[in-house]
Amino acid sequence: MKSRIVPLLKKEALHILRDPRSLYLALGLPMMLLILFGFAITFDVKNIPVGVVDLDGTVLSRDLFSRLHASQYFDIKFFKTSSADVESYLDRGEVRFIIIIPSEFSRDISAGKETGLQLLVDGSDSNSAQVALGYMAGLVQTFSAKILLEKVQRSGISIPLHLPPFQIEPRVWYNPELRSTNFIVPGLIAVLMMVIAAMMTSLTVSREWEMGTMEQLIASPVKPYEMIIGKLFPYYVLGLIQTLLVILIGQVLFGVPFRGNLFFLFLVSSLFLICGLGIGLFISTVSKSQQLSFMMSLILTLLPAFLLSGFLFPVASMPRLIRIVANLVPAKYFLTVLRGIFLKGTGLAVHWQEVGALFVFAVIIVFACTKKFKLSLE
Amino acid sequence: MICIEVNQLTKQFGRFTAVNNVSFKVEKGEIFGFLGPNGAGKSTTIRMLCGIIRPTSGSASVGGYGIDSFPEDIKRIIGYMSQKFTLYQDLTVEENIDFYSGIHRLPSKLKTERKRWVLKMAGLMGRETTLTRNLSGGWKQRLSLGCAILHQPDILFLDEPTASVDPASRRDFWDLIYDLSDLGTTVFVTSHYMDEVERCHRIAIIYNGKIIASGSPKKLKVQYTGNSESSLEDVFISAIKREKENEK
Amino acid sequence: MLSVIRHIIRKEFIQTFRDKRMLLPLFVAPVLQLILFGFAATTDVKNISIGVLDYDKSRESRALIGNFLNTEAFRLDHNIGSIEQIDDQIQRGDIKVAVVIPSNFEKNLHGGQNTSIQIILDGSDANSATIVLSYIARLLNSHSEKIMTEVLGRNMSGLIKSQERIWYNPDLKSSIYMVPGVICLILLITTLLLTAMAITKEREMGTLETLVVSPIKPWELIIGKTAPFVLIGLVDIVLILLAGKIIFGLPIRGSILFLLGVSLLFIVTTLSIGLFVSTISRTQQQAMTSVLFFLMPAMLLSGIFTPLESMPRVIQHLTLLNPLRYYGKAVRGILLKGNGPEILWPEILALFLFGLVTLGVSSLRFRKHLE
Repeated sequence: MKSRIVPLLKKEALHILRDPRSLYLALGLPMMLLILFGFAITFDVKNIPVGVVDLDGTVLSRDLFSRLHASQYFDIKFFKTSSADVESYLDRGEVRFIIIIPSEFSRDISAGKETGLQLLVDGSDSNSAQVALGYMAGLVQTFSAKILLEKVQRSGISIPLHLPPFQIEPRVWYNPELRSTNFIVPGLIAVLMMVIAAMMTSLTVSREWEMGTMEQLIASPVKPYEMIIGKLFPYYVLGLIQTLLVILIGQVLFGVPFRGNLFFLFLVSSLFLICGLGIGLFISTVSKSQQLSFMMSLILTLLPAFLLSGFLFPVASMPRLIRIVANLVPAKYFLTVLRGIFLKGTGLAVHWQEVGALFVFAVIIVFACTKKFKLSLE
Repeated sequence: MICIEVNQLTKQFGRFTAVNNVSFKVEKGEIFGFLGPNGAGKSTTIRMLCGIIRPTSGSASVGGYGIDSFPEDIKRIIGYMSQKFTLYQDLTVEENIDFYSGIHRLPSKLKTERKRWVLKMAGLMGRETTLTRNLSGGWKQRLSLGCAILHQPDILFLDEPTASVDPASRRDFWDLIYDLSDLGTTVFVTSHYMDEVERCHRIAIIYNGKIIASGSPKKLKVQYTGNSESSLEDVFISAIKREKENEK
Repeated sequence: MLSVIRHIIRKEFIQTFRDKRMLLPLFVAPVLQLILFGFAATTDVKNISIGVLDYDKSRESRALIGNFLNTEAFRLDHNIGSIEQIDDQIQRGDIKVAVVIPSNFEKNLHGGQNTSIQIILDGSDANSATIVLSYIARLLNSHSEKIMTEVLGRNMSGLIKSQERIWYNPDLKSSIYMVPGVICLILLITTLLLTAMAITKEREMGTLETLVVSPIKPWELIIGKTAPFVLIGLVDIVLILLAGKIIFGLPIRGSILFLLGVSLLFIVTTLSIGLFVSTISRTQQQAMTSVLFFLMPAMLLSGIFTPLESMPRVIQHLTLLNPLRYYGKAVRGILLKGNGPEILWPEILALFLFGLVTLGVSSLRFRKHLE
């Protein structure tokens, strides 16, 4: 008995090969994003443009200035001795914040009085403002501790305290230099798989509806499950190729470690791909138009995969309601497993819960699809 | 032998009744024309018979199989060519043929034979590797027909097969349909071209979802215009006129 | 002449809304995205699971741990007994950070000897690890300051405090930072992507040929096809602003009219790119693919989501060619800072030039394509 799935597979493969741009999307997009994230986009905040207004003009205030100058975090855009009209720099967005050293700065310090630096901060980019403030606080603290130490030494009193009282010794596991490519690469696999799986399948299936070829297929003896397998398998293979590509580029170009088991990765990826393909198929059977399918898959798959999976932003810090929604995003579970496989070398023993969740998703989606797909044939 | 039997078939889309209590029979080997203006319910009827949509009420059988109980068996013995042009534009002529013979599971020996036959029939010999997108309308039409009869169906459903084809190609197309009918294939064809339908063995005129007249073209002409030489167009107009009077 | 355009516009509206479900992505989705970005795209440190291993179990060590209890940033939910347990918990992902206090912490502290606290971080999520680490550092630094003042007494301290005055977004809420980004995203999707797909759809369906043989002039066709999406895009902007105000308390300090004006200028560019994409695409799938190729780098290299100044110098120069960079800055400036044309004229000029060039190139190509 010859299977009907083979011609369906062949046809779908031809569609993909005939449209090189879809292939570029499948294979070129991962490279582009990897390179963008690897080279261009860092979540570190560096070279923060700042302005300094020194109303004091003493040795001490110049010392502080030179420390700011030496820091790799800050890029000093202007230095002034008067605070007139400095606010306009913030308005124009030329600096992130302005440090104003008050005129009594040096005098207060020698007198042992508490003194204040004024920081005018542009809070509109809240994320980098927060990080910048953290750097600034660190810098001021070290400066302040140094002055204190000098004072104590000069006074000759012996005090029962080591300065600073204690040190912080950070140790980072799995990714000691906190390199962002190391966590971007696994995350990217999840996001890209969603794009390929959900978006491309939803488009190809709704295209068949739009062009009327679906009707032709329905009138033929092709069974729904044959149709589904024939439609989805090529994209499944494409998704796996893509994963391999990302791993390869990650290793060769960025030296991202791969500590886990390749076979386990293959299994989990397959499970996740089934979820993605299923969602795509479901969307297209509901929408039947390419425009709508695209918009829906954008909202239902790409955005959650980017925002709610923990790819860039920690899920734990989100509000409760969003956290509940995030639990319904397959990419979240897949991402946890991916990071485990890549960076920690963990396997099923650790990740059985996530794998279980993905399995449940896959079963539900496949069930919903065959149900819905049959309905629309009627 | 009765090949298609339709009994009080009705299809409603929401409140709109697309097909209203339609009954007719089609004999084996017949070319049965379904004539009616756009939106009369022709396509809906065909799609119910092919198992694409389900009727709201009523029953029908195709090749002896009930459309409710055995839709899968029906799909094996029919060929269907929908109103839209439904070949894959980004596949070549040959790839389209291979695809459709594949989903009908033709054995490979038969497959080559049928492919040759379709290519010859459609006049596409030597153009096997042309992308379907680049074919002209008449060729596309014949290729569509070819793909619909690759598996030698007993019954062929054609939904407005010549809607966007030039007159010469239309004539060729109908010659093909005659050849098929001579080989014993039952052909169920919808159209709104009067001159085409004239060539059918029997026709039914459908209007607002109801069949308002049926019989051989000659019989209808006599019945509605009293003149066997008059055109089907006159039949059509007077049948609709009568129907409207009945409604009042 | 104008009536021709009106007919096309009407047709386009009817087609877009024929499918009532289209309303969902066009008008509900922007708000949904705003909510997602506003709530989810946050780098605030909150609810981070932290494990504490206290070998000292002294008054000083408990005081130090107290710092982690009195904040909603951390969730101290594991009492850890050994370093092996930390290993295990981090591997499972149950905790993200662990703090280890050595056994002679109090003794060393009071004896004036050097002592240190170990912070163990799960670096597999480098982004949040960096943020968490800097947060902990700040927390512990202020604790160390407290110890110093306690020991040295007030008059010896002479510490420098910074007084921060934060403008435009005083609570440093990331939702307010994200709104301009969502506006850009929505505009790109409705004007660039949907136009490209709408025109390509006409080609795919063969209806473009019908339009070409009709006496419609190319520019009438262009305006007619794109105008509805421009309108939808502008309506979406207002919708996002409204939702932003209601849900996140977004301040709108500048003129909305000015914002819509700048948006219109930006839309000229996006539409032109959409038009260009449609001339190089035969199917909607191709159009979508091409748009994604433009959209992804344009969004990521715009400075809307990550600061430009942190990028490598070469890439920073490259972003000068990204129209989104200027628009993003303008939106943020108008909404949060109340900037007007006197400050944003360089951005307006840049957007104008982009519009001119892209419109010229793509309409030329479109006309040639039709012939």
